[in-house]
Amino acid sequence: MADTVAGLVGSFRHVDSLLEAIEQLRAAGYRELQALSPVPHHAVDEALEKPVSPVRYFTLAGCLLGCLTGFTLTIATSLYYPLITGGKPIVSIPPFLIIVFELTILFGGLLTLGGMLLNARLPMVGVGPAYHPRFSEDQFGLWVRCADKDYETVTSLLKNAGAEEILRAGQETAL
Amino acid sequence: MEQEREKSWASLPQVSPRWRRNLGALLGFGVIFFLALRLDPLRGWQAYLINFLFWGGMAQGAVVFAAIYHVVGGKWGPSVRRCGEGMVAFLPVSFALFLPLYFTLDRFLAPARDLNPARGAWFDPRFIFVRGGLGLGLMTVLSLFLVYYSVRLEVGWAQERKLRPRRWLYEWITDGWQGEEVESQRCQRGMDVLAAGVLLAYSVTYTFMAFDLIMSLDPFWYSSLFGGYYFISTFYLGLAGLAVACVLVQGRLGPSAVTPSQLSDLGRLLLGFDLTYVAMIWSQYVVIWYGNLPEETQFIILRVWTMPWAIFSWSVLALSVFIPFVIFLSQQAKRVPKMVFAVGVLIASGLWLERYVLIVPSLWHSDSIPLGWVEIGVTAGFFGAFGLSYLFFLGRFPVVPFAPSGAQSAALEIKGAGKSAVEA
Amino acid sequence: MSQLTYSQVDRDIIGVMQAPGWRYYAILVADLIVLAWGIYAWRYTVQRGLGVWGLTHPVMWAMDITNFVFWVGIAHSGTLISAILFLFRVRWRASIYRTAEAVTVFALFTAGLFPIIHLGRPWVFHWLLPYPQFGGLWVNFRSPLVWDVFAVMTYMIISVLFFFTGLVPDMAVVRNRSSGWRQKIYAFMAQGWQGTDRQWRHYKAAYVFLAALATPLVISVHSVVSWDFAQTIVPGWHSTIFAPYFVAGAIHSGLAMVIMLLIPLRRTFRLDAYITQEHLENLAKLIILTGLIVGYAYAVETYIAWYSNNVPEWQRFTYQVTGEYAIPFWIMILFNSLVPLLFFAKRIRTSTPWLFIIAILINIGMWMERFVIIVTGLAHEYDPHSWGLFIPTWVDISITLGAFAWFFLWFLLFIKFLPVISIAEVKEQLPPPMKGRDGDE
Repeated sequence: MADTVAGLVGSFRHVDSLLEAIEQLRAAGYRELQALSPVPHHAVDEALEKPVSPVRYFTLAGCLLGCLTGFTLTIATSLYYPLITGGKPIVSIPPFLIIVFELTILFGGLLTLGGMLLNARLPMVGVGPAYHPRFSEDQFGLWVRCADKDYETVTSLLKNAGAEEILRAGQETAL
Repeated sequence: MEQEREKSWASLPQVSPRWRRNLGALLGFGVIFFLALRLDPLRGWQAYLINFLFWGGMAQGAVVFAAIYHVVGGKWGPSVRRCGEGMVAFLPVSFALFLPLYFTLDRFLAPARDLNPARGAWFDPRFIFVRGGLGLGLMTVLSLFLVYYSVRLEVGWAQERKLRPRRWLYEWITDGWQGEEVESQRCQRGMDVLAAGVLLAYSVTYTFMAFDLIMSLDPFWYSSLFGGYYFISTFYLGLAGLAVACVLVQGRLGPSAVTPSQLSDLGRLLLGFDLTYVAMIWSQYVVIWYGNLPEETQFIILRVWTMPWAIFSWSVLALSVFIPFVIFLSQQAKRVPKMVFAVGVLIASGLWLERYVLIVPSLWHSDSIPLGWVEIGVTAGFFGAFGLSYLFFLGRFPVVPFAPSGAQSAALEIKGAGKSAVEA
Repeated sequence: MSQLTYSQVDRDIIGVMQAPGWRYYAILVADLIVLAWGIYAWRYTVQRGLGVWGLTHPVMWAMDITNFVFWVGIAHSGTLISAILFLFRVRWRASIYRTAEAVTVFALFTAGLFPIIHLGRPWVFHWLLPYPQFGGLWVNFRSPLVWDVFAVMTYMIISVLFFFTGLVPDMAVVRNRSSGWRQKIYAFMAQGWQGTDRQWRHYKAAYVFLAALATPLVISVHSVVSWDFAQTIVPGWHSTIFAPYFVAGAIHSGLAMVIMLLIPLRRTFRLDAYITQEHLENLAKLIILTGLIVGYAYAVETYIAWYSNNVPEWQRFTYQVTGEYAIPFWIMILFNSLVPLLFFAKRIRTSTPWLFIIAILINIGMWMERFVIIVTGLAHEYDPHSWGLFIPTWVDISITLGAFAWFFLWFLLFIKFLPVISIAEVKEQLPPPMKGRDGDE
């Protein structure tokens, strides 16, 4: 338990310092990094080399599910209640396509949100051990997961890159 | 930036004589075929009308893209814009090709007018010809002037640095050149006005072209969205042609001329207009289907649910709507030149068939399907003319244009924040 | 020129949410009074039946459906600005899209009232939904009114989703700066957001796809609403151009409403650094475009009315121009297609008073447009002996005003409880703090 939470969090005022720190730490072999920032940065994502988000598959699945639901709902229920209205066929595809379209978008949207929440591990109860409110304001954080014995090395690497403050993860989980 | 511009002048594609020969041959082929069609004038003229609308529309659509790009202050693809501008070279040719239609408008419109005489003098073929000619003439002039201003900056810059040998065309374009500073302002201002003018004139002219040359062929049918549908369809066609042209240019000049991300953006535009196009079709279809009024439904039923025209309609949907949609859902596909080329060709083919299926069933009343050597021949002829005009432009003006386009920079910054974050 | 910093952005935007002064409460109270009156008018209707409205043969749909279409229309500009402009990578949308999205959500809350309000028996409104029941009837999927249910419901759900997804990073900022019961609520809405790279990555991906879904949705919704009319064979209603015409009109009125709300907001809370003149000018330029499309539609409708040789169609057109409802008709033409052309003049589109006035005129014009289309269409159908008029009663008008009050109530609450400008996106537009640039600060 203690191992998974352990690590150091460096806070930076500038994005290029953060990027430098990421580069150096990765070069030194510390790959379990997580950056915290008030805004997303393309450069940070690239430096961390994390995989592309799979949310798109949730969207696709949602759309297909919605499409299928739309057709099933309209066609099956119309056949079950075969009332002729306006002289139109019982299974009249043009109006049904509109229902199908709306449900495609609805389910696509709902599953996209679900995909995001699932992948981002939201909602969380409370916040993680590396978080500090200033990471939502104007500073950037870098959480390096490492064992106790590496603390010296990591601290010096972070300081070289320009970290302003270095804390142990778990301290200052403030709100 | 300077180096890039110089490079783009240096790398003006030498139009290979083989291309010229082949296109010229196609053109000749077309002319001969057309003349031979005195045996079956309806078929020949039908094919002529379809191709006139198709190729002229494609060229105009591409120029409209350039106009929109300017109006919104786009920055993502100046070379794409120039490829679009290049198609303006076909517009005067297209206008000239409109003129022979005078001889056939009566043949096309008389049957409808006889069945529905209430339409009166507005539908006199001569009047239709005159207003069509005026509209097309206006479009041609506005488009030429728009591209003139765009190209003037380019040529003037090159002349100042003596990058290219003098030619009468360059001399004429930079007549009265007053130096980079002044001209830059003046040309931007010119483009501002003309881009807006092109867009306004386009919507009106193409609406009436659709109403007069396509919708009126049927004695009773009408659809208020038809004009709007047609100018969206033509713009979509222009984008497809532009995509094909950009891939070809990239093949010739390398990926720095048209980058993968620019192709990707073009692919996104195609996807977006694919959906817009199908929305235009659908908006007409569902209203006509539901109202079920015979004077409206007969047009649709003939084309969508009756053989043989049904094959054409569904092909249009498959080629121009469904297949491009499925392919371009993938982000990767939009960056691959071959895919973009293929999709562009598919869309263009679909839209050719679209014009075919809109026009022919109103005119052709015998049992056979008029699709054969005649149509191929006339299409080849138009393609030859189009290709030659486009190559004329590409051979004289570089693809990477001068200044970032757009009248005012549309990128707004929060006051006081300074330049946009492009560093790192 | 002072440089905006991240913390300054936080301060400025959260500053709007501070405890309000007496003026806010005064406006709130006035709004609540109008709303209460509107609710009273509806209660009056439910007790006595729809006859207390001006509805009578042949005009059986009038201000009720006008209000519905009007409010659904207003909702469209929000999605345009937040989703469509996002997909086109238009940068200036960043500081205004939150307010525009709020307008969307609240306009949908308002529009959603009317399908219930205009029912003869509102207590059985649930019959509109497809659920298993024993009445032997089923939802008629062939009816445009049911398409409406699906479209508007989908739009409402997706808009709310989009709105709250976009709020999550901002809720973290607000959570950090609040206390007590407020903090608990914001913490819940922030869903434990920390701004880790993982969260941002998935957030950005989800945002792109939601925007990509919302775009065809928004076009389909007002197309479906227009088909409430176009699918009939009422002369003047049965027209294929209705779908894009209504969508353009919706965006037209929505943009006008956004301008109408942004200008006082900006003035009152001194947000000039965020909602700049260029933002308002760009909105004005978009209004030129939508105004031209609406004008085009008016012209084409006229042309086709003549071209079609359809006698009822043509007489209905002349009735619009010269009949009892000629004044609303000419207001519609003037305010919707001609007045926005004033924005071609830079002097006018950069002047806040002009922007505000023209925005109001456009909203009036767009309301009139729906009224004219609906009422003249029904007043003058095929059979001259069935022709009749609609004359609004005090109940109609009160409910209309009550709906406006309902909308503004939500907006007033929004200003104080949620950040009116997206903190995260505004920060994203600023140059990131770089060691090299800042030097010693």
